[in-house]
Amino acid sequence: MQMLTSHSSSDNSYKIRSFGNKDYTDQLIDPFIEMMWFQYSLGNQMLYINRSELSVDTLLASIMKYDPPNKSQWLETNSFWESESMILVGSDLTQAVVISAPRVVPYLRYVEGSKNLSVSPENYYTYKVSKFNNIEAIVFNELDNVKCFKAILSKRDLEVRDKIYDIELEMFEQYPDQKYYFIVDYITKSNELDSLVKNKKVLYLKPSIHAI
Amino acid sequence: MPSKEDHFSIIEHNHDVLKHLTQPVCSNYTDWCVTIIFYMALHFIHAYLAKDDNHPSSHADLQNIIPKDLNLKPLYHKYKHLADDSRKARYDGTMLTVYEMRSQHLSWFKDIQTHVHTLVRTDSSNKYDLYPLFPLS
Repeated sequence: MQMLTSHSSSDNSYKIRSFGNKDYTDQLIDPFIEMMWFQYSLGNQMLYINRSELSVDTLLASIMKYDPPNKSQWLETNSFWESESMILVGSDLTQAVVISAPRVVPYLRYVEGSKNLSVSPENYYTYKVSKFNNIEAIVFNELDNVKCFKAILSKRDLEVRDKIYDIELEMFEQYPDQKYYFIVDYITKSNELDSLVKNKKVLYLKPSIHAI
Repeated sequence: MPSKEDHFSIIEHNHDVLKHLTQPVCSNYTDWCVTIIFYMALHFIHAYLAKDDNHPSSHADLQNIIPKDLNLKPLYHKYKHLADDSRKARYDGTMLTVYEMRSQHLSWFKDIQTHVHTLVRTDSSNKYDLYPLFPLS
């Protein structure tokens, strides 16, 4: 991936650079995309969160609260990038992108639990459920102030369903003022997924890998 | 609005339908059997809520009540399994095997029934034994 432009934070404690390559730039600045996952060849994952929900300062403060080792590396520009953990702001300053290596993930888990970090129910559910096995897609719609989530599995998998039900219970606790309707479905015929996601807001679609 | 007793009458009626559907072969209509068992479980939960004059009017309403009621929250997973399989059966006609029903749906239903009977303090601890309706043969 290529570095495109640089921005400096107001207090100069860290620099933020926008990041992306030709393939992803449009998606990075698309204001209608709230979350995407990309699997890089190095095994890093990119979590894309809409800036209106995530304050970069809040994210850093939340990480600092847990006194991570090599604290200065999180705040210094060059070593920050070299630590494989980056917080990036899109060129239009509306989106923040966090790239995390596996060793950083424990801190991000703390951040997720931080009351200072505001994440939408849609992002919370998608972030948690998309990591399970056999998840083909997650679709969403909202009707009469009820947020409706449907997780679509590749097969009837009771173990994964139990894990999804755990997340559903978390949602009721994390966002107690919100009303939900949760469904877990599974595919029984080929091409059924197309009809299940058609005309729905797709929060997650399992990426396909094409051999070259 | 239906009383606790009304809900128990509905459960009895649903049980009669289930007995009818499982004869002579219990595997012919497992899609509808799963649905009936789900609704029997649902009415048990409604019976518990009715004692406090709480009458959820939709599946979404009930789904939001169960996690927030300390007495019902332990039933959430079992209720959701029945709800999701019933929905799949109703909309897609998905059939399940008798083995799956015995090891999963009848077990979930039994636990919900036993738990609700404890809450509403009736004398029958396991009034509906559904296993004889689904013999392995």
